[in-house]
Amino acid sequence: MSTGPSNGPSTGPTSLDGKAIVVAGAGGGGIGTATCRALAAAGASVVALDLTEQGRQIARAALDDSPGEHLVLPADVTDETSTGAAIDTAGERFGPMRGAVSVVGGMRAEHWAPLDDPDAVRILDDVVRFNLVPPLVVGRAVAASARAHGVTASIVQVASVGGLLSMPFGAGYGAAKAALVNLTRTMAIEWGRSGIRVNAVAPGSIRVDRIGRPRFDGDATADTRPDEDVDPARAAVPLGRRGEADEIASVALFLLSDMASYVNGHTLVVDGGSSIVPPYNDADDLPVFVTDPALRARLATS
Amino acid sequence: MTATLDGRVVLVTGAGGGVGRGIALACGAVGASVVVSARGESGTETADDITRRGGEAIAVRCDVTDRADVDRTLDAAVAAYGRVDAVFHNATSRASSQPHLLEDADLALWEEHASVSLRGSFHCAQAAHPHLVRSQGSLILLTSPAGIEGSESLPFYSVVKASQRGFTKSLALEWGPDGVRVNAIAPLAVTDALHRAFEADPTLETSLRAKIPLGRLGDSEDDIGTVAAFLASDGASYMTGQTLIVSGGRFTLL
Repeated sequence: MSTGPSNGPSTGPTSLDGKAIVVAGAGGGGIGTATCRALAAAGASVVALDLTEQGRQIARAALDDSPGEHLVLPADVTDETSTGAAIDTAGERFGPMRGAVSVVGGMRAEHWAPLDDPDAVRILDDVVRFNLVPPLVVGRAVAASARAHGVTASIVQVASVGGLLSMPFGAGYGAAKAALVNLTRTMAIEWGRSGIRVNAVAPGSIRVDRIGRPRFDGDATADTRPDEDVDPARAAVPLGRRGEADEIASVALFLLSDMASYVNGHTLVVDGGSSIVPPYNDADDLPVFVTDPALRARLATS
Repeated sequence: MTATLDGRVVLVTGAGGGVGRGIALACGAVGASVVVSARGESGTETADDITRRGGEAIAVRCDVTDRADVDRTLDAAVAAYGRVDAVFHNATSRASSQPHLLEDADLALWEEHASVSLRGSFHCAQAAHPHLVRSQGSLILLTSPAGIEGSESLPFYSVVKASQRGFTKSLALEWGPDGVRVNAIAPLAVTDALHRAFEADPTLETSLRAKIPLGRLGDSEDDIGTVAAFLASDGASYMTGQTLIVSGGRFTLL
């Protein structure tokens, strides 16, 4: 029944054997780089895009140890011409693009500001543009490549729980990621008829290695604090820990694969349960209306 | 490979047909040992199909409305395979696809829906918990677009399916510290009931397909079962409390 490209049983359910998959923002050292590794391990031909030479070096280092083919290319994914040129180059080598993971986005330190900041409007303009334009530019280029060859494709946008809940002091980022969730749905409907699935992953707090990069990159919710002392995630995340970049990459891999052949227009929250924690918990992480001391003691130690 | 279930043991209730059978087959196809639970004898066919394909499965008769039956099924899983890594509560009442208006519905129909879906969830969850703590496994409940969007022809079905989401989130909160993940799936699949409806009214399939961006209805195994297998796998290790909509883009709002 599945109209998706069929893999034989020997290739495994999440096999991306020989499919060209674009990773935009491949060299941040976090989700993008982890996604490159996961794709290469699943047999994809990885097209790793990054704006800077430093980013491309990081992507190359991740991919050089991996099996399978890859291309690491410079591209400004806010620009259609630059992105189109990179996709054309990749297409000459690998054939049509069969998928993409768009990781580019984030906030620079100076973008953290309250709504009352004198520069709030300019900041919002910059941040929305940088978080919303790349997913559209990359999505359009990959969809066009797939459609030109009459093949199916799967596109994954990296959103954020900040876009689903709120983003105090990061209004532009929260608004842009919320818009990205909506853009994902629209893409899924406009492009679904031609066999192109579009979904999003909304990570919660993800632990990434700190890589000082003087530009937009990475997820603003990515947490680079060391694991020493008390893990700040323990109380806020039902699973009791921050997530790993690999745990976002594995969900992106699933969405790209035929296992997700009927998942379309959906935003998958991958946050260890943090976004379902009710707002009425107290400092002990128990609901405020649990007042019986014996019950509190039992719940606290369970 | 992130979605392998090699060495894992999964239990699927209501796996004699429909989406439950699809989940069982898909999990078996990626290496799980599958305990196929069904109220009648239909589980045997699903289990046979898994083993015929080179997989591992046993069929166990289980009425999920009876806690002792659920305990016995989990015991059978442990006796056969030594552990339980994932429990899918998929079973619904045989009356679940019977259209009803509220003014015509009676308490018997209500009890029928509630006993299999609600009491069944309670039994499966409570009985499975110690097994899932040991295996650091996961519970997956089956909700439905009808539970999210409502249904004008199946209000009781909508109610019991909606309830699965609250239960999913509640257990995700309670069991997260134990390392047990709890998620839900909302599928749009071709079921026997839908198939019969298409036969009765051939225009129905065309009009339904027209509302689905991917232009087709989901296959219980290849489209829905695979998502279930993913949720039980290590690839979903940081997902809990979530509902995965598997509807080809027909439904995208939770």
